[in-house]
Amino acid sequence: MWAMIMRRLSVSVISLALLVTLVFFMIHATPGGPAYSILGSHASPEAVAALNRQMGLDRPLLDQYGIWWDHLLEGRLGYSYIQHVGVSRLIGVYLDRTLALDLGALALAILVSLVVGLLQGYWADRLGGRIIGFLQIVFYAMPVFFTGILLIYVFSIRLDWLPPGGVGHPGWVGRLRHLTLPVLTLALPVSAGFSRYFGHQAREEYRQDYVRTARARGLSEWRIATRHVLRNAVRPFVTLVGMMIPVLFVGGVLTESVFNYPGLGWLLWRSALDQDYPTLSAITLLIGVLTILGNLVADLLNSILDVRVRYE
Amino acid sequence: MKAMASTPLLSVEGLRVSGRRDGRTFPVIEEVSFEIQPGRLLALVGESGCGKSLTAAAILGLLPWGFAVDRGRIILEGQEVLGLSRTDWRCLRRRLVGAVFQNPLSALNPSLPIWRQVVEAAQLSFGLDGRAARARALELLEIVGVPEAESRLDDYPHQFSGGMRQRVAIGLALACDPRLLVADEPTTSLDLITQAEILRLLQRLQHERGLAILFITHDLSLVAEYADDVLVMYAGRTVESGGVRPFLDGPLHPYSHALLGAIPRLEAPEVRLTDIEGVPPSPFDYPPACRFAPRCLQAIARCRSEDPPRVGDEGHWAYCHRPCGPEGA
Ligand SMILES: Nc1ncnc2c1ncn2[C@@H]1O[C@H](COP(=O)(O)OP(=O)(O)OP(=O)(O)O)[C@@H](O)[C@H]1O
Ligand code: SF4
Ligand SMILES: [Mg+2]
Repeated sequence: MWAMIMRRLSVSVISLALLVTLVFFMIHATPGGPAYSILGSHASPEAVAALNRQMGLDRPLLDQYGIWWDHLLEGRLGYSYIQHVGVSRLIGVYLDRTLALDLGALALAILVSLVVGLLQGYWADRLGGRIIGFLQIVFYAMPVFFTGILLIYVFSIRLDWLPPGGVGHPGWVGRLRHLTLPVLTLALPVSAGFSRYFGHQAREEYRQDYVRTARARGLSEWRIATRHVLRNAVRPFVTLVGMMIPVLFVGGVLTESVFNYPGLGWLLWRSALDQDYPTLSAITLLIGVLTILGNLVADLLNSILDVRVRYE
Repeated sequence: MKAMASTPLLSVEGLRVSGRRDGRTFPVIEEVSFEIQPGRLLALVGESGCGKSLTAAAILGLLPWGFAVDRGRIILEGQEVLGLSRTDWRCLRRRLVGAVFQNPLSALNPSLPIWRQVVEAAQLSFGLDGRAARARALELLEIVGVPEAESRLDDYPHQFSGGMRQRVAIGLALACDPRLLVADEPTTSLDLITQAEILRLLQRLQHERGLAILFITHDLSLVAEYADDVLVMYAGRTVESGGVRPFLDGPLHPYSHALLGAIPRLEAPEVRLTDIEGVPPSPFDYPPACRFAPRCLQAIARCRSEDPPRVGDEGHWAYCHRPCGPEGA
């Protein structure tokens, strides 16, 4: 067990180091470089050289790489020359909103897919199972901006129940009302994907003999679903959820832009347009770190759930 | 044992189970009737696909999707169960009927410690608390002969051998002290020594606790050794029934006769019932009148046009136009 955790942790650390390196070279390989984006593309070569010297961009790449690490380890993410504010502060403001949206959608998607997946497994070859399967394909294929605009049209424009975008004023009710449509939009395709996978697992479990044994012992279908099938079907599902976290973030970026919701995705999109490299690299790093952590947590959870891993 | 067990524990009367295919319903088993007295072992035999498991499934409320009992009665301890609500029947079954199946390797949930599975039904039926449940689990594992049961309570199914798992599975079935055990080929996937051990365990439960057992098997050599009564099925119908001695000494139905002829005289216990010429018909095209006629060596014209009459007496009967004599026909 401990050996497994150590192995898994070292894999995560290596992934993190690779990620940091990759982001560094990604930024430094872009044509023009940061100076041009700050000074504008018609800046004189002298001004660019001066700025590069000021930012340390004229030093050997390896030195810069070392400095990049030093700064990261000290938690310094740099300064956004576009927004004129420290990147950490900038991200702090936007991260909250993104977490609210992404985690809300994730929680909703997990809940929905557990219920739908169990039903799908239980109904397997019956009509109900087929209808669920069809809906999953439809919702999975539906682009986020299409769902988003559809929901805005129905719930904001036609029914006037919920705001079409923005974050709203501070306070729970306002925030929740502003979150509802984006969360639904993001959760829909994710639920479709999750529940399809989990439904497949549940269906396999329902075919196992232990389900028949449980029925023969007079256990109720509810108990069989929640105490027996769920337990076995959820294990691979946990891994899937971990793996899907980056996809969720990408969906979040699109959702944020549809709803004009100022979160990290929105910031990422803006900073890419503005060539705001410090912000861009910090967000990329953050998403990468969250992904690696998500996978790590999923794997560890999985090994706790899966007794057989412990005995191997 | 009560000597005069007059009321049967389970009685099945004129049971018909139908399935659906291409929008049409068709009966898969029909006119199945039998009784089991407390403390007796009834062996249900017949070739693959004749409807043995479906009969058991009907009694256990485990019919596959698309199959339903649409005629007949199932009476358990004097109570007609088909009229009960699903939940009532399930709770009645949970207390009175246990079941064991063929494949012990997959019959247990791989991710729950066995003691939880063993007592689960008892906890639901009798509301045992944690300590009492664990004690009951230990008791059950001891009854089915799991060595050093106390230290194995928290083990998971994969830590047991196939034979041990089948013992645990029997423990599961006994959780609520059932009166009836339905065992659908419980030893088919086990090696011979383990098979004999499991059968002796069933026999002990039968004798010590007056457990009635419906034992489904392919293997007629087991019938001779362990059964009290025999029921032979062919193509979805019961064709012969009787006490094991009269049945073995003088089977009435030509099909039973052929089955018994297929037991090798020497000690080769695993017998596949495929030594009869031809194959059994499928439920979609059962022949009219006697369903065995296409394969029967004694068939006459009447066998294909008129339903065969019941011959013999209460203790041993068969449906046939030309039953075999005491020495065989
Ligand atoms: N789940 C199912 N779906 C469709 N048909 C089925 C199903 N279960 C059983 N049948 C059909 O019902 C008939 C009776 O099957 P059953 O399983 O009762 O036979 P059996 O006597 O137990 O055979 P075996 O000795 O092989 O276990 C067979 O013709 C089979 O094809
Ligand atoms: S009724 Fe006729 S065909 Fe059927 S088993 Fe008897 S003799 Fe054979
Ligand atoms: Mg069978």
